[in-house]
Amino acid sequence: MPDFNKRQVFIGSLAIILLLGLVLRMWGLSGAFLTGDEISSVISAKNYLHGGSVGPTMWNHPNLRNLLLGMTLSGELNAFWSIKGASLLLGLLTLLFLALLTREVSGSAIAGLIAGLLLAIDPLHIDFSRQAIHEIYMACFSLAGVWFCLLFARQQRLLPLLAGGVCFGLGISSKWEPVFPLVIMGCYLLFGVIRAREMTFREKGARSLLLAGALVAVPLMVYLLTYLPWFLHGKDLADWLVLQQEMFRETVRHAGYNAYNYTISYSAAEWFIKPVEFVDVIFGSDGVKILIGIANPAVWCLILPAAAYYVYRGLRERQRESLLVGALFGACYIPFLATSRPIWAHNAFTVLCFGLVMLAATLTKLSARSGEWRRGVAGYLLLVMVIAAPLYLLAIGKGEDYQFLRPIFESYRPAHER
Amino acid sequence: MSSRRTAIIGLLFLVLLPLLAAGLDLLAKRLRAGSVSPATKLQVLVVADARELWQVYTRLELRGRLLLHIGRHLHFVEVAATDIYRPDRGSLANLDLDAAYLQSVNHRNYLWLAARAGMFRTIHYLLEEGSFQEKSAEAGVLGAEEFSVSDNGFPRVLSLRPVAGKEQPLVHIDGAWLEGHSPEETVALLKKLPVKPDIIILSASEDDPGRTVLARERIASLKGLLVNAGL
Repeated sequence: MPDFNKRQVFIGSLAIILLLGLVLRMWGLSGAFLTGDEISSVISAKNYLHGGSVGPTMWNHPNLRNLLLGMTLSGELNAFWSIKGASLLLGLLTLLFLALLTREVSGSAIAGLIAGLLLAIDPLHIDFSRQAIHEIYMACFSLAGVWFCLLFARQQRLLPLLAGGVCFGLGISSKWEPVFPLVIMGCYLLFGVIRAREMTFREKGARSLLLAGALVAVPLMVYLLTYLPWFLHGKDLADWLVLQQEMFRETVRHAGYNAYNYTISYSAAEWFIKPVEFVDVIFGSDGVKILIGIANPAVWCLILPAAAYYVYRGLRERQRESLLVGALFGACYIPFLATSRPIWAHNAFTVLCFGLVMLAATLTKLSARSGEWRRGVAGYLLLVMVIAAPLYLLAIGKGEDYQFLRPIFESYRPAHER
Repeated sequence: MSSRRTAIIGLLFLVLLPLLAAGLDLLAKRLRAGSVSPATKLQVLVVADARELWQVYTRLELRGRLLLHIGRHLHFVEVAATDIYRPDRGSLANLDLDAAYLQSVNHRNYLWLAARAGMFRTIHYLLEEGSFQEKSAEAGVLGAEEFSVSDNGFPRVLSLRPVAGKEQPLVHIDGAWLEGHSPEETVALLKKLPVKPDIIILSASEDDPGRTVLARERIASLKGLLVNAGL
């Protein structure tokens, strides 16, 4: 067996996983089939860049999606890349940062590769990496932000900390939820400064100022800068504050745009208990195409037991990194559990990714126990891939083409189309 | 890194944040556009319908203005994405939004489209009484003389009287208003505005099925009065 902890072996294996992730995310994809959300997102992006206005769709979220889509649309890319390019790229980068973060906190390259692989073949993540909307942005930037902050904690260099601040800024400019991992990382690094015995009081004060600058001011500056088209169209800071207030009001009570969405999972409490799904129905000139992104139950249903085991070990062995990942998972998940409004499964990616860090680290720990455990883990990964195959076909809209998937496909057809 | 340097870098970012916010605020206020020329006196323009009005808006290169709309209707009916883009209009990526908006504009939606196109950043409606009562009942604020509504983050104020403000408005008078108010009354109302407008657009609303001949006649008379009113 190759030594995955060797740099070249790790990079080579990660490259293979990224390639697999890219192929799965691009296979059979075309710019011709677009969901209603994608069409509205393109119009919103054009509105934002040309008129500095938000909406018509998902106006209650910040505007990185509008900015990225608007910029790629005004470039020289062909129609396909200009619409889907940003999501494909960020979906792929999520795999990269997940693998790097898992390796950083677990100290195991194999754990990093397992986490990357599990996300690479996750049907729901594949589904949303193929759509020109922002659901996969937050996980990507949150993972990158956490990874850069940990790099700063290890290397004590300014650049990773600033990169972390910028990534969190981009994350909160997509949706506000990365504010939770940002707060956790800020507290984690601040706690490290307060506890550092080798630092003088003066040094601690200086380091705290640096953390405030990099993890409060920098993300907020990035957030403000993503509103540049808004300001360039004559809307001032007072208007901006009113908009933020309205966005918050809408976000806490948002109930979706489509009655069909109430026929699928819309509670965060179900995420890691049963195979939740998100469904997009596309009405094209040649009929209905249905994208059915169903969470892989072999992965998602192991997240909570793995998290419990991982945190328990972290407490017992006083591993700060383990407790940090547990806190990140909890901080991202609990707000979704606490809200009374519907929360659909495509909001789960950040929570899922921190869960995958714990699952992969736990699997690696277990496989190190004995040869039997190793074979068990290998068998489990094989099972995950076998289950992922039909779910993948459903996620990319091919469910109707295969007889054995027809019953599942038909069960998601909207009532008026049956 | 020395403590001094660390503290300076941290402070630098903390100071940069309010500076950036203030800079963007200043930039926004400077970039508001739409006057034909700031030095010239009041411009009074007459348009036949929503389409022509839209062309005037586009020609004026309006950006982030305050609109005072005097009329009966809100003209704020949402245009569905499927009406703005249809696959038979070519690639979505190459969608020409200006052309699509021009194709979609009518008397029911032109202010919704203008809000989306960033021409106005807020709209103050001065509505005739019957219409105002109807809207306030729908909003559950019956009895109020003024109330605010937000549509997808776009703020609007509905009122029975001119809303007090410090900003120069662009005024739009819809033909429907003139069915119940004489040109003289309207001029008197405009004279009460706390800040005088730089542009007044009179719309005959030819595409509004409810329009009357009276409104069209009164528009011509109002234009004459406004030019000589010394607003």
